[in-house]
Amino acid sequence: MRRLVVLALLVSLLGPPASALALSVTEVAQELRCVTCGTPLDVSNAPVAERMKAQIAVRIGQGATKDQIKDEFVREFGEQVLATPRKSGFGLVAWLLPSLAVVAGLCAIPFVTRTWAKRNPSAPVAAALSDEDAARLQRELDAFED
Amino acid sequence: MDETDPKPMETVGWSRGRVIGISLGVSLAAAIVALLIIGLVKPDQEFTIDRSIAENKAPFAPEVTLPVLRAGAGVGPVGANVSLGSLRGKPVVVNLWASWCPPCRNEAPILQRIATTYEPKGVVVLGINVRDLTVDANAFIDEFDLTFPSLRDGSDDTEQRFEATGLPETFIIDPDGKMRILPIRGELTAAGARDIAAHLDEVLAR
Repeated sequence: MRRLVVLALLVSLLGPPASALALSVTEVAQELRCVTCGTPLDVSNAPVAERMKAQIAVRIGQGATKDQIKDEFVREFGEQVLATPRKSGFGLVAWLLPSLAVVAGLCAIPFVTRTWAKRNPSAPVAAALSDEDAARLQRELDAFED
Repeated sequence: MDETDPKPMETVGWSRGRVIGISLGVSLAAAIVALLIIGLVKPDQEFTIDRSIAENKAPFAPEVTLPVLRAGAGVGPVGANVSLGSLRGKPVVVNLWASWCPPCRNEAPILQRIATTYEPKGVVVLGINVRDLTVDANAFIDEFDLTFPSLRDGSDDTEQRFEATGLPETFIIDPDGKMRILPIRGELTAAGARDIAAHLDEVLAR
């Protein structure tokens, strides 16, 4: 029994307080944009932004989830009310395009470096000495050693 | 004795690919600079509607199709899509408004007076509520006892089509769908209402 009590105490200490579990207006507003100024709704103080935040508070009070509230705002104002594009449908393009651009850039590196290497060939290796030159070199080296 | 490298000096020249690449780069940079200059020189907003009206060209009103927010004057029911084109044959006073716009509150009684006077004569006063919460827009209509119909656009598409720079703005569309008097870009005052009334009287007398 004592163990159970200790365990319950530990769980209650580790878990977040009840207030933290509730959905806040800021949590929803930061995923939306003000429809008149385009800034994130949580930092906008435009008249319509204040009304949008008030509406979010009303819907939270009625038990609506974040996704439900966001969907309602999209129905009201269109997709442009979202702070970031949806990760589905056409909005997915905005998420994938930068990654695809990076992958394309990485794939292009070998081709580009090969082109550069062809354009700037390394210094030509000295041609092999002719028999005559080799003999002359040897003679001069022998003379130098003497 | 000749000590120099017997190999001939490699001629320093630009390959064709390099020339094309540099040309493309320079062209791109020039295009960007040109766009920046055009952006700086060009005015922020070009009122093609106003200019055409001023030049007596009578431009057609932009075509928009929007859901009905509040029915009235034969426009409805609520939720049905209505196009401006479907109102051809009648003079239409289009007013762009939002509940959060203070000048819209000031002019609402003036618009209602125009509607009360001219709707029985066949004129349609048509509000277009933009970028507003539906619940707030309906509360606004109820607060001012507006009897004329309103459409709704949650986006700024209608404002762009009408080249609106703010709210409110009022446009007069003749029965043939063309605009012949300059829009009132800003709050509708008593003087503005007199101009609208004079034009409507002229159109109705034809």
